[in-house]
Amino acid sequence: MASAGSGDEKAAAAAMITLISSDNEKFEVTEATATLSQTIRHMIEDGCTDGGVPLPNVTSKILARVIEYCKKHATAAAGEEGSSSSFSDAAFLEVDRAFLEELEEFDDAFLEVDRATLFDLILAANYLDIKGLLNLTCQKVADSVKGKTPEQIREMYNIVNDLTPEEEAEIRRETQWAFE
Amino acid sequence: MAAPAAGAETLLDDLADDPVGEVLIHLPSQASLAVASAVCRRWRGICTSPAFLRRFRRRHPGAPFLGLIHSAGGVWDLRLLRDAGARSRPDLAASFRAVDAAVLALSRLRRYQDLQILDYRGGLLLLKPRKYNHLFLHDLLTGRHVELIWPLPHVFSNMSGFLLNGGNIVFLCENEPGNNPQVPPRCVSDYSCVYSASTGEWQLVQPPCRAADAARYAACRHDVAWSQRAGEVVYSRCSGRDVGRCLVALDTSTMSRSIVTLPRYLQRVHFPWGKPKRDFTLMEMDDRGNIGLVAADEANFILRVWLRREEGGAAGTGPPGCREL
Repeated sequence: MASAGSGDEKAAAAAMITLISSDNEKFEVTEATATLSQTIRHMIEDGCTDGGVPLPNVTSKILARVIEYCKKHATAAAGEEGSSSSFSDAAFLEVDRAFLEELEEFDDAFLEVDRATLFDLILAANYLDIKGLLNLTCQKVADSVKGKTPEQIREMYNIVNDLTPEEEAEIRRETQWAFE
Repeated sequence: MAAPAAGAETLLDDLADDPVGEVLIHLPSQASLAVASAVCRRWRGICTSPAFLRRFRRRHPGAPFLGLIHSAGGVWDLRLLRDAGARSRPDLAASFRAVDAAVLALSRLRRYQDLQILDYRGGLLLLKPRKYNHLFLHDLLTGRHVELIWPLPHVFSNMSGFLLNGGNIVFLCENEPGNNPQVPPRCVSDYSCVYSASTGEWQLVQPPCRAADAARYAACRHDVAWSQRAGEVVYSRCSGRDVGRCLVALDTSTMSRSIVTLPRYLQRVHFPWGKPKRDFTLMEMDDRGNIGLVAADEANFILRVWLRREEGGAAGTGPPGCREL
């Protein structure tokens, strides 16, 4: 938003960005929503968003979900900025807590997707550089891995074991304490 | 990273190393990371890369530090300095059992009254008795104990050994090795002894100094005050009458030396009759190879900190310098 600051502030705030998915579907979003993505923020700062931002790595199905996440969290960010000035603390904290709970519920519901979609979301979040979404989705996968044995992890995620039996024995010996 | 073909389901294996690392960084403990490193070769590579481990340790600062191994007159003991309640934590119980066993195993080395810890890295201790050229590698977590054969005939009175990535070891020799132990060696700190964990062989090398620093290196290499390791680079504080004090960096991944210009405050060489010495020590290193220096001025009780930033890369134009914070 820094680059737009020199022009008309109001126009900048209301500016819309067009995102184009890999299957050529167009999505209109506000700049506040789009700049949750550092990748797009940099594009806006460089002034190369006219005529839409093509995202060849993201399908329309995934992009719709990503935008859903960004919209929710962009209002959260705006709420934080706006409220810091006025209101008495107690009342403000109450509102804040309710809002955070709502956001948490949203995140939980947002993660109710199948595995393939989850990986697609990680890819998109990584490509678009959306920290919050990347943390959220990666945490979900990490939670599913923790407490499992290597065999269970491989089976769950169709990973081929390319370690030789000797290497595996060596790793087990080195990290025996972790397998107890 | 290409978009997955339409219709095909995205698998965890389709993710590039970066996002997979991002997933693994969210694992809750060292133990779950160790298990993940046994899944496949790619995961192992990601989990064991130094940059990843540094990031992981920053996220889980409490976990790897259990206490200090302490030796008094050949009796080994594990001293808990921080978090005295750690013993009762169930998630640390397994690690504690392992470390206790390791301490017990170390006590069996009582015949060496003067065993020194030369370096510690990733659960490995490098131990050497002061007067003997015996060398031990001790794995704290598994209790595995290895004696390494020391290849040179000398007893080095003063030497610094460091553990490198992948179990390799480097020793900086302060004397020139020779075949006759009776002849006192000349004091030339050019040589390094490198141990390769994969072949089990020692090799004596004389790492070259980069051309831009060669003259200064020749003038200062005789006087080495101390050596410290930061990541894969070993820094030695050297001084020479004409060049003042400087830091010689031995990059063990390329086996080459370069000189780090010290802040002016630390450059001056002090004489015994002069003011109290200002010495300094190395602080931490970050993922990009920056190091920090701390100096305490005894006369004025001032703590000063510098950061070194490597700009551009290896064959840089100017010498890398330090900047005060």
